[in-house]
Amino acid sequence: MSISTKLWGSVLLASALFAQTELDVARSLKVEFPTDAPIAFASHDLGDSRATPRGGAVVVDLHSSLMLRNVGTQRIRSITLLIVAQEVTPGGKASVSVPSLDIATGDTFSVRLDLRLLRPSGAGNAGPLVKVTLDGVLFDSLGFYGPNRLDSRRVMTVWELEARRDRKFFAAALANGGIENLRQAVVTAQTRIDSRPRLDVQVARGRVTAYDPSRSVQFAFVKFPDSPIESIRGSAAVTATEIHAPRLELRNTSSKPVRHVEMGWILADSTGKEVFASSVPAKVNLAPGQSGQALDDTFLKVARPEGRPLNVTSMKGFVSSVEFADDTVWIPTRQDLSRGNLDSLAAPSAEEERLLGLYRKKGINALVVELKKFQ
Amino acid sequence: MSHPDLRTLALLAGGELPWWQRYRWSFHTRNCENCRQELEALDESRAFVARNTATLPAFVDWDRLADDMRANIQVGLEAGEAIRPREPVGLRLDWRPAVALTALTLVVLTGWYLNINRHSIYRLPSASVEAGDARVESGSDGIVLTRGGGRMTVMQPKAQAVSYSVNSTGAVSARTIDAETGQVTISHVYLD
Repeated sequence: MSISTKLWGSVLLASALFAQTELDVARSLKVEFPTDAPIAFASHDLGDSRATPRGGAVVVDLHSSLMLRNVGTQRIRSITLLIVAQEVTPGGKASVSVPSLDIATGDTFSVRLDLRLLRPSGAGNAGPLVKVTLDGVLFDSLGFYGPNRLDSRRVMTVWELEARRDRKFFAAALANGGIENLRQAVVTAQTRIDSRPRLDVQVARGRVTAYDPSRSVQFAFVKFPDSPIESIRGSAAVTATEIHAPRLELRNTSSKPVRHVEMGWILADSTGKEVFASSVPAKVNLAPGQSGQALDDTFLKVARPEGRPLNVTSMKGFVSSVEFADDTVWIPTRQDLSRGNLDSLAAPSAEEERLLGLYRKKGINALVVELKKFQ
Repeated sequence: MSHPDLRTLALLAGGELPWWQRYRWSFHTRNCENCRQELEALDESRAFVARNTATLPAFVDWDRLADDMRANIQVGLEAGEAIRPREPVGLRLDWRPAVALTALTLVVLTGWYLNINRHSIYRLPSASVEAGDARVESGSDGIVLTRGGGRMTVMQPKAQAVSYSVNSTGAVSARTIDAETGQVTISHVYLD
């Protein structure tokens, strides 16, 4: 190959790379809401979005703020947007949800989207790289709108019920003992959250590999007085660093059919120290009084954040939410959670974190105003 | 005929008038009896003062007076030294370089603090899910889905506190709270 041929080849390669950087970022994002949706897409700002070549690939940074308007007749409490990047990661999807909203009819609000997409340079650019659609909207009546492809209705209803429970708790602290009592409740909650132990958790699904010799460890259950689900027994195979194939036997003690149960999973080491590992959602169809098994082919690999293995010696489970066939949801009370010391282990609700953040940022009076807004 | 005032005559007697005025008033006093007598009286007064201040009085001992003055000055200097605040012995630095160095340090530290990737210091517990060739994991920028040679990252603002979690159905979640607006955002990235 002559020098001039190599030179022309280099020029053509550089031109091709330059052409990739000319990717139309504005056309990379498509927002599409149903015409009958209670939320209208008002506008979006792509800010400093850009596409840059990196080796044989193109990196697309999309930074957008979607302005949405409540065009329905009810106040909006939560929203979930579905994000699909079919051309970049086939089959992969993501969602962005905003709970703890209070959007009146006609009001606008923003949802921030920050995505980075890496795709091979040779891939075409026929359509938008990212499609954003509406998966669900939850109203203050707990009514729902949306295709619910991501099970958003159940998840957002749980968030809303937790929000109401936690606002009620702090409002009661205010009503019973005034501002100082509320401040004490807030400080106690913040201390509890700050001291919550954490774990590195890796989940492998459907994996069948050789693992260390395991032993079967039985679940202990924290039972709540008014739980619609009774946990009868459960076990999982446990090694020094892995837990796999949890099996749970559950009974529906309520008068309504149960469609979905979510269990919290707590691990303890040989010293008795407990840490929340994961939640285990299980689709079940349990008629009133019926028992059934929830199986999972999950492998859970856990380690302390500093890298030390946990050496699991015992496990504990608790029912963190139940969805009935009529779309209603049950969650444990704060008394239930504190009784089993679960409030020091499981993650706080989004609303509790929001209220504590409001206290840290703006003080006790702002928190009082916020609590009274929802009464 | 105009006459010089007493001030002009005193200056004329001392020889301190400009030459044209000296010529004019000298001519005048030669022809004006009153002014000439005034001028002579002023000359006599000047001569008397000059005579009586040319030598020190006999009772004044200048050497002793000079010794007393030197002694008094020395006493004053010593008294001033006694009441002056003591400065530390050693290297004396000017305050300006110290202030400049402090300001520069503050600028560097502020820049470092604002631009630092906090995840690199306060390492968050990681969460990941994998199945086959697909993987979802929490990273320093957010939640990353890798599949089929492509990669999608749902990024989290670096300035906000992020907590990650994982559930067994194959989703990694991140929860952030906007420090300014208080808005909670929960992102999920699903394996399938």
